[in-house]
Amino acid sequence: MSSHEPLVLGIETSCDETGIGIVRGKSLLANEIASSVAEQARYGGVVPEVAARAHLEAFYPTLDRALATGRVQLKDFDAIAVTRGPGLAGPLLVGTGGATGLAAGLGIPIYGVNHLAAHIAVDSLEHEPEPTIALLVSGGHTSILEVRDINSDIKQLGSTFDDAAGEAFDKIARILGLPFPGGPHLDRLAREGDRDAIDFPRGMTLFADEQERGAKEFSFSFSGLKSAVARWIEKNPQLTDSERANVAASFQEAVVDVLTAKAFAACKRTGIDRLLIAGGVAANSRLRALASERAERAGVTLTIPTPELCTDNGAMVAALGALAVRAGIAPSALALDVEPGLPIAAASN
Amino acid sequence: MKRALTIDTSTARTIVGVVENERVIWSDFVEGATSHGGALGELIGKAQGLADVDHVIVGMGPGPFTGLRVGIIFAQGFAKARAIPCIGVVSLDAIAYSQELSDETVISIDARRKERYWARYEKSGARISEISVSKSELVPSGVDDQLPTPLGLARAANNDRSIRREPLYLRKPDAALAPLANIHLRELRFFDLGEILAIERELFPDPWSLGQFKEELSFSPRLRYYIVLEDRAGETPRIAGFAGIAFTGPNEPVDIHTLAVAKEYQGRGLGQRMLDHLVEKARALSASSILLEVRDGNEPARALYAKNGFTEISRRVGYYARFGDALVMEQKLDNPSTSSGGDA
Ligand SMILES: [Zn+2]
Repeated sequence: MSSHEPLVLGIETSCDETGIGIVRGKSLLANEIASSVAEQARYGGVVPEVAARAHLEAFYPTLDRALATGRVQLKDFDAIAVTRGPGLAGPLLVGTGGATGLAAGLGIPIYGVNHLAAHIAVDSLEHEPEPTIALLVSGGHTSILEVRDINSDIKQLGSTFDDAAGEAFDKIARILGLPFPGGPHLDRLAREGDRDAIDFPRGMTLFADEQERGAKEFSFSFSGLKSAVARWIEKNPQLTDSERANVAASFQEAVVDVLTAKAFAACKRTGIDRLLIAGGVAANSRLRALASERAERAGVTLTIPTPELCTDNGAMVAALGALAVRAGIAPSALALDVEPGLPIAAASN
Repeated sequence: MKRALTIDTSTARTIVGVVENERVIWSDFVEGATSHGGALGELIGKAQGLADVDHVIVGMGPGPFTGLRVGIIFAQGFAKARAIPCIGVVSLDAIAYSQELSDETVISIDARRKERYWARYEKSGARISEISVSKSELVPSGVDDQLPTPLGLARAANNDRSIRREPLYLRKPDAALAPLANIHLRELRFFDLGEILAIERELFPDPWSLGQFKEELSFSPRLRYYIVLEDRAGETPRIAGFAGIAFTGPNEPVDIHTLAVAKEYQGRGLGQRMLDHLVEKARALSASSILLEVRDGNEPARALYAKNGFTEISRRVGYYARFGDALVMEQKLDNPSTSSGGDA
């Protein structure tokens, strides 16, 4: 059976990771990543031009590693899938440029895919696709999606009005003097703190009326929380180590409490009893713990892909491409343009 | 190699051509492409004679970075897919080879921000200078704002000097680097020399050897003072830069023997920080002035010293052997001990 499954190359360059994945049908053959995060750390955040330069340098070496790991040759591929948005324009263009060059040289179809949909599609490497609610949380996105069919029916129920969750983590980590990228460091520090020590606000959880609830029930805002943390630190300038840990733990609790509460509310509202959490923040230990606790209580099946498949990677793009090939979806034109602000409704193509 | 697919995206025009020897088999372009991505796909979809292409030639710039990268990565992808070579060439050279030059000529293109990319060419089209980016008013006039052609790209690939592996960025990314919170200045220790040699080799065309460093340090602390900047932000400290002076006695000049900042730490005021420290040290030693030599072509260093009140007092022709002249620069110190007759 395996030889008739489509062999798909997946290319992901929407932010600072150069991801190349290889998927045959639903099996993962390779998932190689080169990250410019160390370089970005010098700038205290992702700088598009720095990321784009790094993508160009890393692109073919990463591809070569993936081909070696997957034990396949370029001429064996049936299709190429590449992220065309949403993301940073300069970095996206490197990925689509490489992908179209390869596709033109090989004479095979190319699929320009949606990055958010790819985060969800990665689960098809581990489970049969089923309707699910998806919570996507990373440095770039925070959204709740209703996924009836990965290829054709994805609806965004809500997203963030300001910072992405991972961005809020990075900013608070910086205030606490933790290195960039701050998320994992903050997670570690929070384990030593008391998450109930400080009662930080939960954004967008109180609604004046049903109309406001309808508009914001599945939306997020982290700016109020961020300034509350900054104010608290201003008032307590001489933080002891344990106070620092308490700030980290209480801040983290405020974020993951809201994330999970809204995700499970979305399950209830739509009658979908599956929840998929993906994106870099899915690696957060407290988010995982609280989500599984609440999943059990709500009778919802919780899925969190393995950490390597949660963060931005090429395998998820290849997985989505393979699903598109199997569903008989028409490929993109070779004159593929990127769309940095691509909405989720355009899940594929 | 016979038939080339030629691609250039270093200007607002996306150019694709198929060239066999001196004959253009097919060529077309799209004007005013912002990203070049869609235009390249469109052109390659129409191109004729692609089946027999046995190498790819791509313009590596200089030019706007975003579009440049699209052309390069596309060309490399096509070549990789076909398992044929991909040759990068200087796009400005391709412009020269696309022209009929009447004499030695400067060729330049707009680099935005009131600057131009430029180089000097001989009549044959061969480049005889480095490629620079300079303020528009400083660039000699000549052939301005022309475009490369597929034939020009193919000709450039025949000249070793025009072949280029990396994109020609000529500028750093426009981004403010995060402040360096954990940089500490301390005196150089013997076991720093390994890291220092690596920086030396990375930066200078004529690096000092380990032996030369050892000899320098053998005069320390009576006649030499060497410092390093150490970045303690990571798990193990790293040396970000180093500098050293030689001195003899009060009312004598102090000589800056070296001042270096590792590439990845440049542009963040570390050179200034070491220079400030050395000037202070020179004052503490009651020196009359500070002297240094800088390579003529080392523009960033010359700018740093000029900003700090150093003036050029002489030129040592051929001082750096194969690497050009040295400029001797000096800063006079108003040393209170000098005017009061000296008590140091
Ligand atoms: Zn992502």
